[in-house]
Amino acid sequence: MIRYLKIYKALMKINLIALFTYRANFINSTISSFFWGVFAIATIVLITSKTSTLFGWKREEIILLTAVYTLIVGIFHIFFARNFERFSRLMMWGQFDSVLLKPLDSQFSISFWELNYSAIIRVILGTLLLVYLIFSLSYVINLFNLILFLSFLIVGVVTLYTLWFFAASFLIWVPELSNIIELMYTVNGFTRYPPEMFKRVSGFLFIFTLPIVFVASSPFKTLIGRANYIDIFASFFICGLFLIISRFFWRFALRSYTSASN
Amino acid sequence: MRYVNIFLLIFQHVTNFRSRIFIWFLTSFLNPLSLLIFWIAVFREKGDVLAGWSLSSLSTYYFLIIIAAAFIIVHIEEDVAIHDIREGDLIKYLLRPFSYYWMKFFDEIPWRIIQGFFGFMAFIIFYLLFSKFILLPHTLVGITTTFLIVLLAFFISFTFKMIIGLTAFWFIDFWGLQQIIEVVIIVLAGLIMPIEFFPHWLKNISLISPFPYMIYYPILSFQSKLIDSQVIQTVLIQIFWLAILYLIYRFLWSRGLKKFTGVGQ
Repeated sequence: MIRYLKIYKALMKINLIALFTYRANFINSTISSFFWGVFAIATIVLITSKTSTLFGWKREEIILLTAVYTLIVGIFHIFFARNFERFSRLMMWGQFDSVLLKPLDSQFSISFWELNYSAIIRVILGTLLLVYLIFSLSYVINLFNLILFLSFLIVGVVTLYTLWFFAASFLIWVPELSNIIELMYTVNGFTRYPPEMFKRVSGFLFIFTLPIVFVASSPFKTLIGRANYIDIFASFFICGLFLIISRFFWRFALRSYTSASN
Repeated sequence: MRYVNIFLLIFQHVTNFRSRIFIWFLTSFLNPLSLLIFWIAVFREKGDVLAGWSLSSLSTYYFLIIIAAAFIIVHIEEDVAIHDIREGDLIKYLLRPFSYYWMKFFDEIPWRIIQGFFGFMAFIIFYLLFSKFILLPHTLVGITTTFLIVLLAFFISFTFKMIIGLTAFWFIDFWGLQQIIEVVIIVLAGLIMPIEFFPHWLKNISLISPFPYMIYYPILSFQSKLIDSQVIQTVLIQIFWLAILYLIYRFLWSRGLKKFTGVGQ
């Protein structure tokens, strides 16, 4: 475990060096990350522009949910998204052997190799919007709720991670589907809607989207002290269950890996 | 005929990527779907008609968005900026006795056809399920004008993206610009929701830009939501934008070419 932490520290440093080497690249991806973040917020602001309450949520609360979403997706992009892109590239070009041959756990080197520091802009964007909305809605946040909120942010990010990891495992069977990662970026977008919306459309849809809809709404509900024990339990349970299943699935998929290089 | 041959060659190349294109299609499907789910929930809560749109006409709108986005929104700018201008592939086009604009055009069409085909299939399924809600153009005049509007929309989108590609002659940071443009198109062309639903200030911005004429008006025309005078107005404005964009393209092309240096291959 300590060994892996040390390796991760080294990787963080290497990624930082890469950032300083390719500065223009960094600025570019910061700009695009910022714009997509604004876009996600603008979408919600636009589609709710003619109403004040929806699905039992106030309009500002739905926007606040988007702020939480922006925060979670920002964190996810910093730590994980690039790694899955890297994995799909490795599969596509038949370079995955180099990962398996390293004396490291394959899940570790798939998931933690690259860091995307430019996504920090999204975390900043999400935080600013969150703080602004909390003040303008005059919510009172106590320390307990804040700590609970932060831990649920992590649960949300990990849940997203397991979903992506699950999808990426399919690439071992079908390497040319590397754009499945692009698909997952879109799937992330589903987390910015209130769960009540899916419930209202159909119960089946709600169950189908279950893991995704809790990602942002659970932290949100804990933050404003509206979470009940079922929400909290469900989020933890789903996250833990998916983490275990995806790990097994990855191992299972690896058994069918056929090397493309010599 | 020579352009047809270019088209057929690229078409063969593109069909190698069927499964990948299917995933692309799914990706373009999910966003409208999530918005549609949002609207279904809204209609359940608020009533049957919002701003003159019923739920069925709105669902049709989103399904047409999927086809229109697959078929009309061109992705040639990356090819022009990165492969041709930055990596110097432009030389091979300059050496050939064809117009660059048209060669790129026939490079792009096969991609649009295959992606549009997936979109079309989805629409057929949708149509079979909900046909009683959908009012497609059924008169000869309606079909002809819709076809004309879609065709003009495609050329506007293509010329616009060619211009974006040509900016790589001057800008080194192409990616940032490309992402911004992508976001602007999605918002102003009506891919999020019908422009009628926009707040007033944004609606005005959108209507003086060329973007609604790429996606929004072709869809309205498909849904028979345009009255005769609006059809004529739309076509005229489309021709106006196409002329402007083509002039800009010619201008940038002649200016940019002077800046271009390439090393032989």
